Amino acid sequence: MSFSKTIMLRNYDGETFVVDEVVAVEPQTIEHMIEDGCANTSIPLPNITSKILSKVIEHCKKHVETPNSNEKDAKADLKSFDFDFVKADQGTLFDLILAVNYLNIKGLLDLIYQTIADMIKGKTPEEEEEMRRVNAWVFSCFVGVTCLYFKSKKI
Amino acid sequence: MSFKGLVRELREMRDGIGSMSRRGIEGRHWRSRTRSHIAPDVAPVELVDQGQWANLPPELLLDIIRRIEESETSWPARTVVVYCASVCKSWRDITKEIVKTPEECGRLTFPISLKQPGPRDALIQCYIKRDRATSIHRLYFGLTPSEGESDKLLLAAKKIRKATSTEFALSLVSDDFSRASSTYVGKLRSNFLGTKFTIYDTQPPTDAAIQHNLNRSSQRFHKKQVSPRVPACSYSIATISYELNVLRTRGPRRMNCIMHSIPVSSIQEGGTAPTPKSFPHSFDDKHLSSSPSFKSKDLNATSSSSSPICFDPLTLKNKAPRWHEQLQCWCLNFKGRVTVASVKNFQLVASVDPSHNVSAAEQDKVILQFGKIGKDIFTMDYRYPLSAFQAFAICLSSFDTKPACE
Repeated sequence: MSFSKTIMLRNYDGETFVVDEVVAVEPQTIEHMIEDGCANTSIPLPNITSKILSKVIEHCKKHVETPNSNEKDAKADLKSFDFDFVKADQGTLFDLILAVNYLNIKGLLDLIYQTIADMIKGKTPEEEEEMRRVNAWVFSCFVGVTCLYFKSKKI
Repeated sequence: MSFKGLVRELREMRDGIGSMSRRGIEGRHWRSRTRSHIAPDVAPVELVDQGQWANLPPELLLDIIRRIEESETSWPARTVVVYCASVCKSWRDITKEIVKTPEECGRLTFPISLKQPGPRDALIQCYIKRDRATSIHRLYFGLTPSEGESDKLLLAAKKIRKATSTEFALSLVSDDFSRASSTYVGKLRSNFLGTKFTIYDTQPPTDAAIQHNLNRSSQRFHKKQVSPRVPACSYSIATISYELNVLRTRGPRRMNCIMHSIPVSSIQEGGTAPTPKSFPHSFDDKHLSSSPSFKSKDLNATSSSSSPICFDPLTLKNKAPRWHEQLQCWCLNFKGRVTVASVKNFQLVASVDPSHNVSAAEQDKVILQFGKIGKDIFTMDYRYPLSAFQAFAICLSSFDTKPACE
């Protein structure tokens, strides 16, 4: 196991989180702080609570650990992780959006924006997922039928 | 609790209904209203405890509301955009910033969209349903009536017969046509013979508009301190006249519309048409509300002493149909939007002098098209520089013309 550099993050509650550098640089704000040489002792994040910071770190870890391949399984796994990740109460979502905006994690920010937009429109995450699932099934049926058609025509 | 619940709660707090048990009924009522009514554009009240969501940083709110606006482009789903504007002041400001006028995006959102010009390159397609029993004409958004009767109601007009004229009162809802109501938007009045009509708008003319078009009745309401229930001022914005076609007997009648509130320059290169941003006496320009009344007072005072600022108004005429020898009838190409022959059917194009310098392409554009597709069902398609309100009022005049000009 190679030695990987770790970064310390100290938050609003005074708690310290030790994270691998590769995970810590997911938030652009932290990446810039490290580049600017501000990460000698620990990086202060006075506006983020432990609960939120640990959620954010969990998300960054998952996305870093998942191999960046086009494999269906990996993508589906990530999708279901994201889907469960945003199943939080409004208060948590509100704190999350402020924290993620400050930390500047693009992918997670887009995810939260879309979740809130869907909640305003009245679609619960379950309904969204159902729609996506049904669409995926319809698409795969279509593909299957087309393949059968071409097979029969011996193209 | 979903966000819809949050929006509903804030509105309930404002309306004074605090009970959780009522929410179910409200919710159902609210959902059914959104299908058939213009989402009432209500002012957000400054609540003491606004909740954290009211204080979300503007750039975050902008992104969320923009996503909603871009994804819900058609009615009835688009009502959620209007509700975002009713949550609180900061949400309202951001939503109004994001939503574009019908001219820019071809979509109707807020009630004021009905008084803003349509898109330049496409037609906004609507239909009108006439209810003979109640003399109410309703304008809906959509190509034709849909199966479930869940179409978006834009405007409604009630015919009121008077001794020497007929009037149509136009409103945003179909159950309240009183002039004192906040949903009253204007009226159409005909002369005794049914050959000349005038459209009156509650919207004051913009700065560039003609001062001498202020109706006499507006002079009475120059004090702002009157109660909100005072009848609306009305401004004459257009005159429509019908003439017998004397060249051929039983030929189609000639229509002429002079739009006092729209200058000819609007259809010239680089021209624009007046685009009101909010209704008069509305909460949006509380701080400006005193100025129109002073303005009207001043305008009335100065109009007698100095010459009023005026511009060449846009004139519309109906496109002359061609005589089809084989079918032995008059024909116009409605591009499939009109299917039943009727004397009421017409297409309006701009009528300009060579001196106005309007391109031939613009002169050929059909600005308003109206025609019958079934018993008591008519289609209405309009575009820039007309607004839905003006187009609807012009079409109503076609319903009321008397045998004198047929």
